[in-house]
Amino acid sequence: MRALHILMSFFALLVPSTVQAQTEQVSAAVIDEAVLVTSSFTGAKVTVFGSVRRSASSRTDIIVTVRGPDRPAWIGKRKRTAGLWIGEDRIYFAAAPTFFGVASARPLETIAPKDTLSLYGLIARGQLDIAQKSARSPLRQELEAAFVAERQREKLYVEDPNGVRLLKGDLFRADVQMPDRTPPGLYTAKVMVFRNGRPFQSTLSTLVVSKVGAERAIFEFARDHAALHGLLGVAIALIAGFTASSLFRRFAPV
Amino acid sequence: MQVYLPIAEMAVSPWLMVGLGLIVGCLSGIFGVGGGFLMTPLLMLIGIPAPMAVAAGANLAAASSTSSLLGQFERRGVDLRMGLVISLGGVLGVGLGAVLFGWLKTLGVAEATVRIAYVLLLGTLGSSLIWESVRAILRAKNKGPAALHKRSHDDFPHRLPLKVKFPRSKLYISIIPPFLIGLGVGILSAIMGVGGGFILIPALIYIIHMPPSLVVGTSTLQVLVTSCATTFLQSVANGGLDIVLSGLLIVGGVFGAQIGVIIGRKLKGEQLRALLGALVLIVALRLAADLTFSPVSLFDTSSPGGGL
Repeated sequence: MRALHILMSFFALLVPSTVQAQTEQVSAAVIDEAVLVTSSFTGAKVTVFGSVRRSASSRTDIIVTVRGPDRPAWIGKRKRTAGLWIGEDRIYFAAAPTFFGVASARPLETIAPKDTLSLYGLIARGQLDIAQKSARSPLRQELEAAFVAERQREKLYVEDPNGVRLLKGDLFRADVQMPDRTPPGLYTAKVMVFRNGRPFQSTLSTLVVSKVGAERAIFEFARDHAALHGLLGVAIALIAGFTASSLFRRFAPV
Repeated sequence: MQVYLPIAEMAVSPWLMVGLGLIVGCLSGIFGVGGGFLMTPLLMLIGIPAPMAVAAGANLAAASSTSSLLGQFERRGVDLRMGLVISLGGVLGVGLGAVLFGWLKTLGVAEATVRIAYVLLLGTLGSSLIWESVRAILRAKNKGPAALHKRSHDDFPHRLPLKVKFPRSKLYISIIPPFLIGLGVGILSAIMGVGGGFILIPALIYIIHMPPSLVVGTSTLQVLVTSCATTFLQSVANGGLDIVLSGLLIVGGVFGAQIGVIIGRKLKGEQLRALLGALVLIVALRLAADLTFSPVSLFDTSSPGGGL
């Protein structure tokens, strides 16, 4: 099934790349444009297939980023007052990528200078949009770095220097692993081609991560009928307690 | 195997959740506490966001206290009237505490004072419970029959106005002390984010002088009322209730509670108090450690999720 998918996408890619080879030198497609979050969801691998014309005279690098929806976020540093750990200093982000995965065939810093990578949105830290009220915070640098580190620990920000594989001919394949905590929403997959360390061309495609079935029904119910959802929680508790108590009375009389 | 939680937006092992519910439910069956002081930090350790951990803990407490309360009722171990007076105070206290918490936060230093006072309160409470019950156990060993539980008829619950009969406890005391105790526990639980059952039990023993056989059951009733209110409020106020998560915890919790009731019945009053004292002391030490030792993670960050 999966092999068939891959085969089909190969053909889909090969046809336009031969026709438009003169004008468009890179083309790519996401294999699964819809990632379904079911009750057994434990994360998903986003695979991007594509082709890029490699020239003999210059070095070609491919960097693929998969980016989740942006959301407001914050990070706090616990502080010590009079020898006791009480309270924290926080900075807020107006928007930060919820998921940010970068795949390449070798370490990013060997492909292009850091400022170039940052300018083209290939470094997570450069994508943090600080909120106005936190812009002047003295802890900003430290906390931004800590935020990226925390998200890396949660596998929400990933950098995989072996994520892109160059296949036969002009084809390549990129895999980006998303963890179970990746939030639903519209994701963007961007393929950037670098020639000799300079940005050369890019393509964009999108994919959707969405809850389906029971997961979606429960989420929608909780969002739209918060009071009923709360009552349901209480009712479940009471019924479960009652059931267990009567089961024990019947089968384990003391 | 992993199960995806639709509201918390992450996958957890269902067996781990059922197991956690079982252990915490068992504790709540033995002592008549809700177990939020254990459940909330454990869930946060797994990576569940704080408001969702609080809501799930409260929902579990509601289920396991229902389970053990029915067992207690059967053996006439609940003073319904006393429990309702305390619960009324408790619910009002939670509301008052929420307001107070907002005000304390604006002061900054006050938060530290409350935390330190809480640690000291629990520390003295725990150690005096242990000390008193160890003495009682030793006395029982040396002299045979244990000294009868001392019941004054001239302390302040008897002297205050608004006296009410509590037939089950065989008490004729003012309604004010139990109401104030409920109020105080409610305020503390709103500020500290834990149910406060472990403060209620010593208060029932030493201030109200309830018969020991009724203490656990009556406290369980208060836990039930408070945790139902918390479950509902958390769901409405910040959408923190994840029914899949709390459902898994509840499956373990209700059976754990029944096992706990059976264990609790086998323990003597002073053994129960010594164990409760140890539990209170552990909570106090944990809070003290949180305050003094360097935290495991210096940073604290928002959770990513929220969407369809």
